[in-house]
Amino acid sequence: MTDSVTAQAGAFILPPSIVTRVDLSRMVSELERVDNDMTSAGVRAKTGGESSAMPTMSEQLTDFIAQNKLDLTDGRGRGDLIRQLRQLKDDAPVIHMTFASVADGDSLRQLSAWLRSSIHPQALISVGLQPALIGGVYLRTPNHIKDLSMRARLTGGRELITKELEALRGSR
Amino acid sequence: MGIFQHKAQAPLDEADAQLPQLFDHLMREELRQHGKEYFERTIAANADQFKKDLDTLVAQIGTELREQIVTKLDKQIAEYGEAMKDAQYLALQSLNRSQHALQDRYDQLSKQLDGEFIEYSSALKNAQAKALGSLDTQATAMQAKHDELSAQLDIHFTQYGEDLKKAQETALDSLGKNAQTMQEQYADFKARLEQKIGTQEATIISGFESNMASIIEHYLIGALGDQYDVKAQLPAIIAELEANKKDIMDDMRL
Repeated sequence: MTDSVTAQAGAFILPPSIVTRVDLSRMVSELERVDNDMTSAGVRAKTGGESSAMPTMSEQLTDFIAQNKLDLTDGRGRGDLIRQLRQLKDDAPVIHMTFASVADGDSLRQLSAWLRSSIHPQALISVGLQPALIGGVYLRTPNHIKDLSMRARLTGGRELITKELEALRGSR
Repeated sequence: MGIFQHKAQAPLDEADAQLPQLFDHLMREELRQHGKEYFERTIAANADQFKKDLDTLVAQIGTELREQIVTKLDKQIAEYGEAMKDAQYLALQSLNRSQHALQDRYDQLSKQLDGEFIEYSSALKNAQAKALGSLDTQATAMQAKHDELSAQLDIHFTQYGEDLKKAQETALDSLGKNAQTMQEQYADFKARLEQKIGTQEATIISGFESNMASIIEHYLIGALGDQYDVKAQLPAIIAELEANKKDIMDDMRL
């Protein structure tokens, strides 16, 4: 059962609006609320009450359901989906990205789209802020660190300045 | 009674009988008025007469009083004049006596001063003569001493000049030697200083060059800290990620 849940969770397509693990957690919570609302509505319909319409959902959840062609009318299917999404939240690979300034949502969505198309289809981003980087990004994958910042480039260029100064002194 | 009922009345009785009719109310009033005017005229005439008499009397009293006062004042002034003359006479006598006494005292003191002055003059002349004699003696002795000291000083000066000349020559020799030594030391010190300065300069330049990169980096971090937003850098960041794509994928597979 757990393996099948994991296998199904690995097949989900995440919409670009879900960038971080917090976004995914928020979507799972929302799906739980929708499940509760729809279960309550089903019970009321069976007891002769008014059957309410589909509960309102956020853009993220709507995109996720549409992209994965999911059907939320079945109560058991909703429960499975919630379990699979919880599994996805725990297993999805997270890449930490530290920037020199605050990253806007649009940029994060573009980066997340690139990561999912190039690296992993369910990759999530953890965002950090470090002004001393000046520019670029400080990347931390599960096992490695890649300093692609301007600070690292300047550090690498120190020898160049020293050589230039030595050359200047020699010519004097 | 009945007998004298129709008796003719006497004129006086008749007058008495008619009196009340004559002196009726108006008549009495007229008489009173007439008497009043008469009384006022009499009073006015007497008052004028009394006033004239009074004025005459007052004028007479004033004249007599003035004459009496003038007479009394003249008498008293004459008495005061006599007293003043007596007092002046007495004062003049007293002043004359004092003047005579002072003149006598002055003459006495003048005589005494003349005597003392003559005595002092003779004593002073004697003392002056003695002092002059003593001064001549001392001057002669001083001249002899002066001649002797001059001779001694000439000898000493000659000797001192010779000694000074020798010391000057010795000092000049020493100074020349010292100057030569100083010159040599200066040259040595200059050479060592230049060598030391060169070494320090090389050290400083070397340190400066090695720290220059850190200084520039620190400056750039301070100056450009949060100047670039992520959106502007996004193409460059994605290019970097593309360049490192393989490493990242390998790491994700681990």
